[in-house]
Amino acid sequence: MNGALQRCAGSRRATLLGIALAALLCGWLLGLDPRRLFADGTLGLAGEFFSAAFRPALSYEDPVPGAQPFLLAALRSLLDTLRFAVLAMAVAVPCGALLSFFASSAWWPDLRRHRALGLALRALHSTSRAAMAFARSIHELLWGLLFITAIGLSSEAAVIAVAIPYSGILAKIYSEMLEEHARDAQEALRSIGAGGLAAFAFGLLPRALPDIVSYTFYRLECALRTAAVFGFIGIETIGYRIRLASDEFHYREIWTYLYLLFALVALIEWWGAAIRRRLKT
Amino acid sequence: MEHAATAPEPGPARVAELRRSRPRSPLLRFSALAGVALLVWAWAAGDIYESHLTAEQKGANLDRFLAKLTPAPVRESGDWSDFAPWAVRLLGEGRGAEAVLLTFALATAAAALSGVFALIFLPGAARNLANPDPLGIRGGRGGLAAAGWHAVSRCTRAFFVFTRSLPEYVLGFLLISVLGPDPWALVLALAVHNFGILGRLGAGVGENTPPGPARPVVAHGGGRLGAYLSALLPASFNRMVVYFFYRWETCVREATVLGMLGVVSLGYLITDAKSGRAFDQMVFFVLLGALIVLAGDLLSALVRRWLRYERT
Repeated sequence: MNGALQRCAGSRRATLLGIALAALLCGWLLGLDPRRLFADGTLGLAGEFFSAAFRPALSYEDPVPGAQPFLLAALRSLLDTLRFAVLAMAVAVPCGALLSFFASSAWWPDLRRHRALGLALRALHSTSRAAMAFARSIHELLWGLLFITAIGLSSEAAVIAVAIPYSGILAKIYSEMLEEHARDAQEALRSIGAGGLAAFAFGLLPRALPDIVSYTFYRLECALRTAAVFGFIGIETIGYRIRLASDEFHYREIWTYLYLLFALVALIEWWGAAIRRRLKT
Repeated sequence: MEHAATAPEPGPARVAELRRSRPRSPLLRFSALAGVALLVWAWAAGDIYESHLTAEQKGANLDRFLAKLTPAPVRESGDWSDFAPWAVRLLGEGRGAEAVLLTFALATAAAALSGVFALIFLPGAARNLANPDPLGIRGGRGGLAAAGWHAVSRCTRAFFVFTRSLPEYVLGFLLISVLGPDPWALVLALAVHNFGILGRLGAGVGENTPPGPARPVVAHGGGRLGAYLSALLPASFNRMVVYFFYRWETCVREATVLGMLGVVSLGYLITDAKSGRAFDQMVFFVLLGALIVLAGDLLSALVRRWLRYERT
């Protein structure tokens, strides 16, 4: 017992030490010097930027006559951000669900009786796993860049660029969640004669649903952030306004945009948590 | 036995009764309606960005892109054996290998930094610790102190959500405009966002760890910090490290694009190739990025499995 405890503590120490050494090595490779963070020049500008956090702008810092009121314009770009995220998720969730369904073996009928069907299902299984891995291994921004260079900028292309990796990620997590849950209800249904599909739909899916829903909400939140980032490659979301404000050193306006994004993320997080609680009981 | 005697007769009436008494939640109904409304609005409200490109222009763009997609030496000689030397040159002189290394370094440094700060802040967010009665042991102080502890937990949680809501790329852009083109900007951008996520996940782990060994520490006057450091943290160590590697994996993915902001990492080479209209190189580096992400996923999955099965 004592020896086991010691080994446990020893490998904990080894893990921590390993991570710390790796981090220091990486810092050295990147040439990170903590002193540079506290150099006089950076401190001034950083101080100016972060002190603006305490007084976010409520109107334009350099008002242009005839422009839309600042808060209204900010709110509109926030809504556009939400819209872009919802569109991307509207494509990604069905695609991800379909992919994860094909990548899971939980709904397969008894394959001992259907040889040919088994081969086909296995082929489908590996193809969808490979598609999942490929789709998510390329970052959404790179998909966006590829689409922009290949055809040009449009909102459809941007939505699809986000939806491709997102369906891969959703499919991966959905299928992991389907694997993780206990199979007893599913097996009970099968033992009284339910087919593979029915046992999957009524025995396994309801159990995994709360997890699936809350992960989908988390992903919607990620989609919001991605939508903001796509403002930097030209789609007019809140990120676009952040970039414009930054070009003119309007730090207080930037903080307003960041706080709005935070409010939306917090709202979605709260909504998702509430739904999860209801589904679990 | 009485229960069995009063069991209702099966039949349509019973089915209707069961149907009436099924659990119903106004929240779920409202959410479903709101979700549908959100979808309809998102589809119906028109383009977010109005593209001025006609179909022909898009077609021409696509042709130009596809024509330049095969690696330049292969395009000239028509022989795919020229591919390997070209790829090696891109990795060496083209700085591909260096960018791969720096991408991993960026992710690791940022993940470690966010992990350290998350460990420091998470006891403030764990509701079982930041509580007037830590781990269910009566603290014996009322009123103001109790309200204070609830405020600490609320504020730390809000702070986590706030840092989490900041997208890495936007943060990187802002920090570069403040700090200049310095790798610190990208490391901090990744670290701030992941700090929020790791903090929240870690607080959840802390709350779900069985409080058995930690309670005597509090009962003997060890305090909240003592209970956290000596009992809760060691007991939940593996799960914390699992989360760390899970975030490291997403850091690697994000680090591939942060270079688009102009410093180190693969993203820089990709935008550079794009602006030079060298689409073959651009796609090469994008695929190299995909390889990095897959390698990161694989490594992290191996470590997580090892932590789950070997040492629990």
